[in-house]
Amino acid sequence: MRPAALLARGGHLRGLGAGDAQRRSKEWLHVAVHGRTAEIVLNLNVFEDGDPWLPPGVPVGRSLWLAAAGGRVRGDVHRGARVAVGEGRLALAVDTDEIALRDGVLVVRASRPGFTVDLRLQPKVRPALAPRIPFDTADRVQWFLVPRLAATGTAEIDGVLHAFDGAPAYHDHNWGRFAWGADFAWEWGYLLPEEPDAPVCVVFARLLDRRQHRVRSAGCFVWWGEDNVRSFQDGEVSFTPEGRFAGPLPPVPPVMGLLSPDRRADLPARWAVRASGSGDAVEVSFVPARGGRILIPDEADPFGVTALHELFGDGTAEGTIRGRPFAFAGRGAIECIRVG
Amino acid sequence: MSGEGFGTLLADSLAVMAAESPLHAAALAAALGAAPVDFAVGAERVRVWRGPGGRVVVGPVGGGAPAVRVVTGRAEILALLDGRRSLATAVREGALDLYGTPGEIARFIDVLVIYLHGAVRCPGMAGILARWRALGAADA
Repeated sequence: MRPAALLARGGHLRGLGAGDAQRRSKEWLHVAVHGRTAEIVLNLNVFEDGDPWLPPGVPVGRSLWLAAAGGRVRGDVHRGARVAVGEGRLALAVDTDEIALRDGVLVVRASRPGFTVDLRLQPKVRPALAPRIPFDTADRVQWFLVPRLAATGTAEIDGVLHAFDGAPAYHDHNWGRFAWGADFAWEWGYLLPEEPDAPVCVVFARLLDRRQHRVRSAGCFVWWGEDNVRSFQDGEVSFTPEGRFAGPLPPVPPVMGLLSPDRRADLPARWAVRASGSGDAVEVSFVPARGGRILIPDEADPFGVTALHELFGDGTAEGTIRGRPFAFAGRGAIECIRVG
Repeated sequence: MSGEGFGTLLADSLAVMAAESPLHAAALAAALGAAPVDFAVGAERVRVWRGPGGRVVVGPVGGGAPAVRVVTGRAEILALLDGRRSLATAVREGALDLYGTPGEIARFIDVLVIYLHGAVRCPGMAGILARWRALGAADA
């Protein structure tokens, strides 16, 4: 089955679970595009977030964007008046912003002050599912990912038009139950080759406790051609942060910066991710160049903030899978949670 | 108070918080304590204090000295809200002046942080912010 058909089969919206007394259900679609002149993240999410005046089961939709262009990174979060969840389909709309699979292509549209995108993303690889990732004692989240797509279209950022023609892009879809501010943190990222014909791309992730003292799970996933040919797990995977990232990290939304003055002491200047086992091996070096801090009010703590650092950058990957060596240079992103 | 301004928007934002996040509204009132805080925002003068029933009240500046006096402008507040300037930078650059004893100023910062934690959790604040932006646009 072709990548787009598998995306349609597995990437459909699940909808928020009914009867969740603790109201922690969340589902989101994430898209990132790495153009020559602009890098973009659009995340449409639907949370059952415990607003006291809403009856249980009423979803709240938000549209989050982040853009790096012209030497500047900025973004914002928009709480939608209307959210449309395409249950049984890959389609989510928050007001006029949408991510939807149509005719085998992921359609991405958003229109916010200073940020407009109109993109078509063609899946290049078959999806993978990392099921029931343990976030906290009882909370589980599913991670469905299509890490390599080709993006075509335009984005207007602060009045400057950027064109994309087959730009490397990433998509994932998560759903599950957890509370922001609970005892978890994640670091995940990906590296996509610059060359469209290069066969390999790599995704890596690890889940930690909130203070990053203990790694709960880790993975490194390798696609060769269209297929996820190797998934390294836990003890096969190591993350080694090096140095200290010194770039600016503007807050998203900007107003949240008042609650979280810039903290970046523990963000590394380079991640080395190594995975090996059963004769296979991968080594990724990722160097973040620019990014922003997406700041989320905690649900577990009424006076807490969680910071998702979204960092764009470059890197290299090399290794051997099933006796076949590979090496490539590429672009990607890493997202890591820190206490805000 | 009459007309749209800092005072009316602050009062409306406190009403939003009381409705949408009572936990933060109660914490704000508790942290504010008995001593009032005066704001001079442009030409507008507003006093904030904890009134009967633990409710935070916004009204005209009256007799007696405040615990803290905050002096700033509408554009300076918008710069803070838009992340163009941090609170520390605003104070350093003279865009926001705080008058009071170190202890009272520290307590005011605690109050401000509680207010912000509540505000960012209240969807109704988006409408308040839009009204604040409209005021800024009218100033310009």
